[in-house]
Amino acid sequence: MNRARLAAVLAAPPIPPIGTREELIDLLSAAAELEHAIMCQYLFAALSIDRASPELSPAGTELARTFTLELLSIARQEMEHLGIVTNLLIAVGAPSDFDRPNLPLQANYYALDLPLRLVPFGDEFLALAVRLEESISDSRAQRALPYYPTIAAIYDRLSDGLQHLGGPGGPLETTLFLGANDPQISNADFGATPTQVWYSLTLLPVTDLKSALAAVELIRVQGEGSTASDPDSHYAIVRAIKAQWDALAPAERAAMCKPVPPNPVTRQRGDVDPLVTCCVLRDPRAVKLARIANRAYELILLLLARLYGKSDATDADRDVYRKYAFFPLMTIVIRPLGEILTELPAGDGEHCATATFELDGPIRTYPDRTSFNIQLGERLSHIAAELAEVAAMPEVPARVQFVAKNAAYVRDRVLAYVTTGKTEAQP
Amino acid sequence: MSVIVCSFTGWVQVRLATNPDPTDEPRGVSGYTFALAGEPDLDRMLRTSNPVAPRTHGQPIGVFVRRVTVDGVAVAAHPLIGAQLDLLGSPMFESVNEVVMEQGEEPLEPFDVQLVRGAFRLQRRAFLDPSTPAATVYTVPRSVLATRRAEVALDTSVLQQAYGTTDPSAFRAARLHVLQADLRDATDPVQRAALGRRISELEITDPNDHRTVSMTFIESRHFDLNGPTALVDPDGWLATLDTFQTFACDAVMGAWDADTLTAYYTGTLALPTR
Repeated sequence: MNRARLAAVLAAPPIPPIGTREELIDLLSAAAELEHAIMCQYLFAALSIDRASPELSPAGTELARTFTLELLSIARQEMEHLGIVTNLLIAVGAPSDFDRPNLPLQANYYALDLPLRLVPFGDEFLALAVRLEESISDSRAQRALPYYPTIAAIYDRLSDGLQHLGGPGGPLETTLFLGANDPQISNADFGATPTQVWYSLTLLPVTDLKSALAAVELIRVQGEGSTASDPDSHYAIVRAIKAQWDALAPAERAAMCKPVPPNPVTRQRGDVDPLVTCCVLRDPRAVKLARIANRAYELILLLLARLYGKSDATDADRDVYRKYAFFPLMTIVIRPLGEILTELPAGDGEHCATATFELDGPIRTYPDRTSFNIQLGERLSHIAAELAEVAAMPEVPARVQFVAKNAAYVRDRVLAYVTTGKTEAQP
Repeated sequence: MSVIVCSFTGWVQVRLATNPDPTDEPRGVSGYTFALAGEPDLDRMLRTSNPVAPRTHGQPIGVFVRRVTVDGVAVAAHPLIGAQLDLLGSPMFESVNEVVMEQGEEPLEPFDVQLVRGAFRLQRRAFLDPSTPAATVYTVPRSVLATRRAEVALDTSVLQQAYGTTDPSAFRAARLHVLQADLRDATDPVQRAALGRRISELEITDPNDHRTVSMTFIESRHFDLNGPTALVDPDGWLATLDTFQTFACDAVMGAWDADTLTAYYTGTLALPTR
């Protein structure tokens, strides 16, 4: 944060405690957008690690894999946090919020003293990650600040607000959880037990004050740890990565990092921090693939928005949305494209290309199933057609064809459902 | 007409990436299977023989006919006992991150069986669509693909049969102990890196984790071998084989050991005779 901005922030009065449902919803929305943005930061950094460099020793290659694995695992838990915060939003009667502003984000956007930008793996990223996950040393003093010094401070305020509003004698003691019975996503949706860790995820449902506080606590514990020495917390993991990274020889460090640019975008944008330099991708293959990846990412968010809260979606619709949001789109489209992009040049003569995680419009919640399902088919058709187009371009990694083939197959399966209204399990 | 039923058992190697890694992930990152230092990339293939980079403490790869019955009566000296069963054509589990089918239930394709013993050789494939031999899981109708869906169960019966234990956690703990001892003696950096990864995976002891639970996955698949039959039978062991009928093959895979990328493979091949 620059000095003038810092002075302005410090001169502001402390952030007041949550006193109404709308203030609670506003802060939950901010938390959802933050978890979402942080997930992108981790994914971006993980995709920038070179796991296959011939310059790496066997131990170095294994370490590169471990770093990637751990960052992807944290990213999945940030997704889990987004899911849990969404359950909280639904439970208190609000719609989901799968939208977020594009990165890099202006400092203090959420009254948060943390940079939110896409930084490739390395010193800068690790310093940022430690700050993202660090705990509050004196939570009482920090509740009086005019900004949030850590993510954990936001959850402290949410916890206080939930207890104030919905606790014994609170103004919303009997009405806070208006949406307790509305659809949420929990482990049960994947056949897992309520507390089973499912691909590093524990999606807690929220129905009352006790479960709401447990949900907030889970997010806090996974981030900063139940104790200062909790080895499973994100804070401990990123500190351990940093210690291992710091101990590496410079040549090994260099070999582990792809030349990924910070803050990549597919076009000049007016909705990002103007004070931060962005790298505009120029290579036409990279631009096209990055935009397809962004469209697939946007589609996942639209599917998630249809899964949470009251809607006219049928059980069969929900099965289809769940089936395609979690596995195929994430695993066979977005991650492969993120990896393929780093095999292409950015077009600036210096960097390789990379995923940009841009959203070109708000993530809308569609009220009508017929309209949504038709648009779902259309969007998948566009993604499949554009992938086929890129696959036919010269000097494109062969892996694009595999992604294109599978995207086309997903399109066909979804279109079959949209056309017949029946899943394969239905007679 | 008689039916000769060959019962087979043995060990297979499957070097595949696991969810949530993309199916074509070459080294393994976020799933629970990995290509280790010094090993070639993962290739998704199920191997019934000639394993690639077999790992220490894994079972020897090979599937053999152990028992033969004719019309339900065991024939102790049947010449097919001891024949090696191979799956040809680089079979792969075609879930593709659930694009094609849910994990565990996915088709194994191609399924092309060969029995060999000495100069004897029998080979026949289960085509997805015998009228279109080039058909793939991507091109056949979903209704056809559904006939290849595996039945999945979770229990310890195959684990018991394979390893004589019903406790996957204890099995993994014992392996961890052995590998830790190996690491103490290892000096080669490639070997040490590989052992380090195996050990770190075995140190994940949550009984609900895929690494442990998957040891009790049992996948059962039925195939009708419907392609042309290739038979080299110099001694007339199957002189009356009825190649106008399909051959039914039921195969069960279980006791999946993610540490060594091996599984127990057992089943029957029914050979109708005229």
